[in-house]
Amino acid sequence: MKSYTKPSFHLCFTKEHLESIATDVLLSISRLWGGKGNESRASCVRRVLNGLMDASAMRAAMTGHDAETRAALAVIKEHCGAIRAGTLEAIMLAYGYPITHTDSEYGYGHDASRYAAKLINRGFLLCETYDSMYHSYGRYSGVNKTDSVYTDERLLAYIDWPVKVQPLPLSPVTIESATTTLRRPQHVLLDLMAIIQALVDMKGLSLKMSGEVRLGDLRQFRKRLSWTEDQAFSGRKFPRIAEAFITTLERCGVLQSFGEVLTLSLAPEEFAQMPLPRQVSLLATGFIANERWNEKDDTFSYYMSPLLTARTIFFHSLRALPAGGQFYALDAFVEAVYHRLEDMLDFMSIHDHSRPSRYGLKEPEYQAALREWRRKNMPRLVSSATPVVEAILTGWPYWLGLIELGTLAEGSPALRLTELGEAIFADDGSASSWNAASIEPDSGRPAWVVQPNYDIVVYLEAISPAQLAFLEQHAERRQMETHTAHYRLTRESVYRGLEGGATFEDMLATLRDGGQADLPQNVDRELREWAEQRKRMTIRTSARLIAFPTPETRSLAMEAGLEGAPVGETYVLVKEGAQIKAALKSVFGLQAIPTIDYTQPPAKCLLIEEDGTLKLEKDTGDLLIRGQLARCAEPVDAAHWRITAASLKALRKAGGTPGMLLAFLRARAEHDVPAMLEIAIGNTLGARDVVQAETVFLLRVTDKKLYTAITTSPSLKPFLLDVPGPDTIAVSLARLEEFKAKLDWLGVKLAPFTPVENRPDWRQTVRDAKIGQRQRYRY
Amino acid sequence: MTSKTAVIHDNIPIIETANAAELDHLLADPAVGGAIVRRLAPTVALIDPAKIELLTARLLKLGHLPRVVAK
Repeated sequence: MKSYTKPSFHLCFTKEHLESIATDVLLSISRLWGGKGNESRASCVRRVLNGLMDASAMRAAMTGHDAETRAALAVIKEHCGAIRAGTLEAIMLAYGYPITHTDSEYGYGHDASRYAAKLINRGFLLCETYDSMYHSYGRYSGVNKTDSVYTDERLLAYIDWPVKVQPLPLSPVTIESATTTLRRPQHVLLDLMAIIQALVDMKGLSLKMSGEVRLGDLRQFRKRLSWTEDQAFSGRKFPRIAEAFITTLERCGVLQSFGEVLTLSLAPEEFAQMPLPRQVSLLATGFIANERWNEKDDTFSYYMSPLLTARTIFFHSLRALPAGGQFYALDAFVEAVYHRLEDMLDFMSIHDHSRPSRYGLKEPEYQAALREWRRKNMPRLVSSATPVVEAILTGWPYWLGLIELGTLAEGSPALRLTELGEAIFADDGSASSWNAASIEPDSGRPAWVVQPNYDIVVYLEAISPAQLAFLEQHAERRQMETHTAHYRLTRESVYRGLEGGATFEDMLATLRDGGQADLPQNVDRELREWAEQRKRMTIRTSARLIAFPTPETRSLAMEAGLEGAPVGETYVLVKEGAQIKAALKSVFGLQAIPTIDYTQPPAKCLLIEEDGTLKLEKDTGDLLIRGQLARCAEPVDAAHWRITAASLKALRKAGGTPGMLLAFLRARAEHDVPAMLEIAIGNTLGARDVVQAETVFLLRVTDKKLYTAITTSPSLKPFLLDVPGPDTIAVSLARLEEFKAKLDWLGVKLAPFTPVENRPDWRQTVRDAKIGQRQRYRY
Repeated sequence: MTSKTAVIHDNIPIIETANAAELDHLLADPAVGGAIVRRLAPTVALIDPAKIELLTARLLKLGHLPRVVAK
């Protein structure tokens, strides 16, 4: 799969990393670059770094290696330059390379990756885990299977597919064609274009602080694509599909985050122009390394690592399916892969308590026990793994049209590679020829028919990717069948297409060319009307206006060659790209011409009072401030406005929100916006604060003993409404006289209430009480 | 700030309509009126920069098809 385009890695061997490596390993690495093995550490590092800068040295270093090494490096390239050591080993085993497993002969260290250590010693890889750098890679403590290894991207420029893959020993099975399902390449292409268009229309996805897409945007993304949360395709469930696509597109670099927004890193046309195998390969590089989504219905992290490993290994194992377009039973496929993986089953977290222990056994005895255990338990392991592998394969590989699924007579699943799958996995040049043969339009046939009711019936065999991209941009997709798709031209879709930059004449021409016929008269007429309507109103988001002090000076400037349209009595809307200096200089001489840029933060010019009075402290000359003030407040005089309940009500009617108004005030205020005003704005424009209120008889009791006696007394409890503070008791007015009589009986004298500055703190009182309680327990 | 010289207003959002009646009609809508801060001429008005997207969405809802020009 050489055709992915946008590697999202920028990995290279650094001086710091090389200097931290054990001497024996460093000497070994430098041999790749002509080192003799007897140089100083510094010269080894220098030799490696110089070699990586020299194209001819790199070519010499990367040529003439055996098929196994080239395959390993090609796999790493497919994984954007970095991969877990154990995953690399498992993939190589799945490809049928008998890489040696000598780990177990020591009886410990079975998590070490001898294979990755070998590639490191040969100078191709480094281990990302810093701790490992202090150890020699030749030893078992060097690289663990869970460690990530990486290579220098400059080396990978000399590595490419195809690699030799030993086909799995599988027997074909017979399948009733009625039981098979596959996603045709046209459907895949159509859906991919729809996804890209949805992202274009949404102008990116907003991110939370955690880096995840905001739920509202996720919902909107799903809605635009008419997806449910767990969308099914031909009965095959694709769990949390929106999250799957967003995280995968981000992983393969099609989506990139800019601040708090995730946006497309390439134009939709750029994506549409890629051949389908290239688009599919691009997504494949994303999903095999996507750690933020799994095939389970939840996001429980326990499943993430084993599932990711299994997904990666079984996706690569598809490449080892025998060629010839035959179906194979899924459980036979899983079993064949398991037999190749052998020891790596542990790495895939396929643990079993019945597995023999090493304790007390010599290595040959242990290996014999292990073989016997595998013989007995393999059917059980395979049957428990098959549903997981089915979930993996019915997700991405099925959606991307790489595999066709079927059901055997007894009901168990089977699979085979589709033509697209074979072309991509074989990657012997057939991928590009496949594109031409299978999806290039038949120029003799029309790609669609535009009907008088604005529906467009699209013939999927006859449409080109560029035409599909055009339709996604200019029409609404309604329905999709095996050989046809139905779109409809609507005001909104045509408007969206024209806003995307297409000219009206081009749009008409493309519609006519695709149908190889003129458009129905009513459709032609209506489209022209929509285009005309669009000309009647223009929003310029970044216009350049020049305000003149008098109509006369404006006339002089225009006579002096100022290019633009006069607006009102004293303004000129300057033509795009027009030169203005000479004309202004001819009128105003050498006077400096002030410029106000509205993309910059606005001038702070408002004094804001708690009662809503807004004072324009200084006139900054910008054209917006007075209009903005008039939208939210009532004018008092030339420099004062006041925010009132009526002005806020009018603002709410116009769609104003507390956030918008407060953002405006904060941007313009010379000081903080008073809290009282913020609350008034929030309560009037948004949800109202609710405050509980009651008329009560309030007691302040400073004597703790009396306070405790009153608040804990059963006879006084019915009179008490609340205990709002450690020295305050609220008494209901309903039986006040009766309560006063009780106090009188207690001999308590009532005095007038006087506010105090230093009140006891409730929280401190509670803390004291807890400390007292603990001390009582202790003693 | 009264100025005896010209002032250049850069990157200011405006709306232009084909005729004055159309802009009158738009300003009668509270939501559109809330986004337009000042009318400079019968067919040209200034838009609150924070409300360009709201205005565009509202215009589409009202059945207009405004051409949005970035520069």
